[in-house]
Amino acid sequence: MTHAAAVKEVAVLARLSISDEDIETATTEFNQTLALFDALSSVDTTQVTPMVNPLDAVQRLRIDSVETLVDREGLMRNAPAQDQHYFLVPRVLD
Amino acid sequence: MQWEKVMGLEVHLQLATQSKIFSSSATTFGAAANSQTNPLDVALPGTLPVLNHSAVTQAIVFGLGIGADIGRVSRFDRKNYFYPDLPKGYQISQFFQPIVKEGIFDVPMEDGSLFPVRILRAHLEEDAGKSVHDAIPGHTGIDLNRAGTPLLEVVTEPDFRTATQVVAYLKALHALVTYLGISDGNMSEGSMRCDVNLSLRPKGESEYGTRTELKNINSFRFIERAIQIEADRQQDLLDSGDTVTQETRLFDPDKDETRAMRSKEVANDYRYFPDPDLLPIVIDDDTIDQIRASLPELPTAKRARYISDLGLGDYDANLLTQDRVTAEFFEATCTICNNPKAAANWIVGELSAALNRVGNTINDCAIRPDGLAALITRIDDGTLSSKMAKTVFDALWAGESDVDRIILDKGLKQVSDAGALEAIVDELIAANSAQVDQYRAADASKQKKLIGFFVGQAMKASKGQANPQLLNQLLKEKLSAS
Amino acid sequence: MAKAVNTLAALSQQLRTGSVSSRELTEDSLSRIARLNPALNAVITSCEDRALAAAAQADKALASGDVSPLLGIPMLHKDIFCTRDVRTTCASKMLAEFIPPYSATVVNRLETAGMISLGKCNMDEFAMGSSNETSFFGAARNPWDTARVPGGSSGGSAAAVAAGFATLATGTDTGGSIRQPAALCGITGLKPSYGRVSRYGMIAFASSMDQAGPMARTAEDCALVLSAMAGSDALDSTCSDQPVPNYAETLEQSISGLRIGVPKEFFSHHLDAAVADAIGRAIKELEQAGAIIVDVSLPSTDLGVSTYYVIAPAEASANLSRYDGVRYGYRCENPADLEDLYTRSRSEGFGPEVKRRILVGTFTLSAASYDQYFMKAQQVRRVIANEYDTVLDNVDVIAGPSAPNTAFVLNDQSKSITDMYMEDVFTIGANLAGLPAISVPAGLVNGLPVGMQLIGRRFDEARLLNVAHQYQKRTDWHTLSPDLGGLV
Repeated sequence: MTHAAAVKEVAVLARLSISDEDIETATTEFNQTLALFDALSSVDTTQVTPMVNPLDAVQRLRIDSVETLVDREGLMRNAPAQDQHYFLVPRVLD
Repeated sequence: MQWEKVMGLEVHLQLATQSKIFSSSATTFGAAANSQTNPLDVALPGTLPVLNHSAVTQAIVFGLGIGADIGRVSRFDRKNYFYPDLPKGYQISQFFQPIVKEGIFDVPMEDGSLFPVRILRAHLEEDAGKSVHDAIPGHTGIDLNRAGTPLLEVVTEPDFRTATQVVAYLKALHALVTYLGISDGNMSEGSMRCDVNLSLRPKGESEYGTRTELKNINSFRFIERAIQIEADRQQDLLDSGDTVTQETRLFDPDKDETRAMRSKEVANDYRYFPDPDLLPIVIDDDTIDQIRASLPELPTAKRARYISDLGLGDYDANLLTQDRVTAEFFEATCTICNNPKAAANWIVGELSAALNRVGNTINDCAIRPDGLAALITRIDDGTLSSKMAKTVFDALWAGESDVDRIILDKGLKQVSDAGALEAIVDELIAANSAQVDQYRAADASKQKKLIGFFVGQAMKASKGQANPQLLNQLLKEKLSAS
Repeated sequence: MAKAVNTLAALSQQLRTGSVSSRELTEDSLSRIARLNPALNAVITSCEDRALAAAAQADKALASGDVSPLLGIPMLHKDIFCTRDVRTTCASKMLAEFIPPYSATVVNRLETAGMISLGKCNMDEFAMGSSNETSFFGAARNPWDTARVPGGSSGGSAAAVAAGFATLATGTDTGGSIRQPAALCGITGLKPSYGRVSRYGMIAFASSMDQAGPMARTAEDCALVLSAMAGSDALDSTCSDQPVPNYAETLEQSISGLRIGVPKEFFSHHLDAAVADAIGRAIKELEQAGAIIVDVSLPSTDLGVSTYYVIAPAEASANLSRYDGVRYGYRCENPADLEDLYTRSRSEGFGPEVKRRILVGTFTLSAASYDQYFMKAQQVRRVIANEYDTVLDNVDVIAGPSAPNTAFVLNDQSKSITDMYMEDVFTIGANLAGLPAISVPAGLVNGLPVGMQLIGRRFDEARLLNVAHQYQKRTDWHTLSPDLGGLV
């Protein structure tokens, strides 16, 4: 059983906010889903390699050559805030 | 309480590939903001990484260069955290299975000894973009040109005990990677970035204390200073009964202090997991053999060869093998003039001094191996005296390139013609009979001093061009004769 | 209700013989969308001008003798595929104004094949859902009964094809999102093997399971489209370079002697009794065509849901981290600082189901939970995949239901979050194992469509399409269309 405080911590990691009104429901729903996972612990997985990707293949390597993008405007056009071709965010303190 | 510093290093090297590790954007430095980006670099929805062949090769080259185990199967993992210069909200790195595993890197120290550093691992990952503060007031600007540049992160065991060892390691690492041609390894330009993990423990203890991580120090001088300040700071805490907090700190050279990084305060669980967009990298024996066969001679082997085969001393060998361009310059010079000792002397001596004065590197100056070699050849064949050689050197430095031309133009040809010298000597003896008598009357050791007068006069008469050896020989002959 | 409708194959014929033009087909489709979409909400963005311009080009090509099978045929894309210069929203407020500067490989390939893109279909937000109710643009409705869901996440695509907006819509399937809506809307939908079709430009949900596929009236139509969609792509490391067969060529192969496995676990308490009956009859039909029906067992069937709901949200939690209000997408107003920018943009931009899954996914990847949940689930995933492989060593194809029920009503408050997850119980296994699977219309229960699912071996889409086609030659469920008279 995960408690509201732990759910809030997870929310911070994910940069999501849960209001005080919603935290109870969020925690209940969270635990409902977690309950679904209980069944996994009973499976015997000794010596079983975790499956990351079902494709049985190795990574293809790309030739090291440069392709220059022509449409620079297209790349920036969805930016919520930009200036002099920089993406802008509120001043970050180091 | 006697405290001992315990340090481990994490060095990030920018690899010298044409394109980025997962995208085909260029990696050249200094382009206009966000001009070297494509949808993948900006992390647009739906974009996917494809691995650059060269990045893999260069990582293997590094691994073989330090004699490490190459991971035959390695994977990429996602390191999850939020920061504006990290467009996907995760960095693709290697956590569980790195491409290079353990090795030992022998660091040549100033006294000629070798300090063995245990390399824990080296892995591939992508670089983040850059944040530019205050270019636009109240905002931070994000430039993703650098995002996706391939990095090789080299992690050591906590084997370092002094800042001197740390600096020696970094210099040796720089030498190695420039030799291998896999990185510029330049701290001030950011192609080599060093993070120091530092903790203190009582001398004699085997358990490690709590460590802090010093990030992104970009010169050897700053590294030494930062280590000192941080060690002092930790010692003050521990001596007064306080504890050291595990955190990341930045070195502020202006304030001469280290301070905790604010943006890292939010606790980070990186939630590493294997990246499902990339498949396992599998490296076979043939590939490793091919790469091994293509490796250049490494600094340690070169150094040993210079000492044993070419007869150079430790100091010269160290300096000449410090980076690839210097070694290549030296070897090119030797190939032409066939006098390694002379070549070494000139490079380590005059050339080094001149470069240091103007802050240049060996490939920036006007003197090229063929020029230096010609100079040495003319000294060796008697055309130039050492004194005149310096004049030729200065001319080469200034941009002239034809040694024979310089000798001719400046009339520097050493007078080695016995007849001409004899004439000068005879004249001298005739004109200085008092000194001649004095010489003839003196004992052997006094004669050694008195001959200097004649040498000086002869040099004046020959405008400094008399061949000193021949002159000496003639003077002795003629003065002795009575 | 039983009205024979045009198939893509039929239209292709008509275009090539000149009995109809691409412009006519396109205008037809566009006006149908204009008339019927308000009631169905299957389409988010309509691209009239582009479509008509493309149709004009197609007509020119046809006139000059180009006989490519897909040339000039109108179609729709699920709004998860980036389309250059056309708004692509993934049915989320987060991307409501996003205009990609590039197109997905799937989009490019079908465009090169000459298809006419009419617009973008509604879906569950970020492909997370089984009913198309989580869309920021409102629920899509099932044309068979507009008080009911079309299924999800490719609900808009399924509804669009069922309502005759076009003979093809693309969909994506991560846990059943092509097959379940195909079943609920009475159309044919194929999820290819993982790695068969490029994921480049397809907005990522769960990277190790997402696959794009065709949703159409018939297996033959799917075969024609898959041939154009499939194949290696230099831009997707997980796209296989297995050669792509001509899927249409093998449709007519006899299935006599083919071994078809029916897993007993697919006929569990989860399955509605009437649906079970319909599927039983469908399987009998295959037997009559000469196939040998074999009882098989997939004991880990129920575990699939648990496994999937650990892995998919975990992968999604990382895939959705890029939606941070910085470079594109929704940004909150007047962010006080960086953390505020992130937190409010994401909390305001994402819907509740997306946020729930990001939370669970973030949790299962966190240091304390990783071994117990995420790594464990990846191990169980392999156990499940091995189970399927073992069964498919013994039989050629697995048959069963696609969904446990027919279309349920919208806003069904009696369905809990985890009830909704159980919609995927029969489809999830194929995603975990990376196997191809197809849903074909197999009956009506209380006037609502039922789909039969066929699951094949990796990269054996040809066989699946062949079996489906042979089934469709003997039945006419796939020819049925809902009566949309009341919607106009």
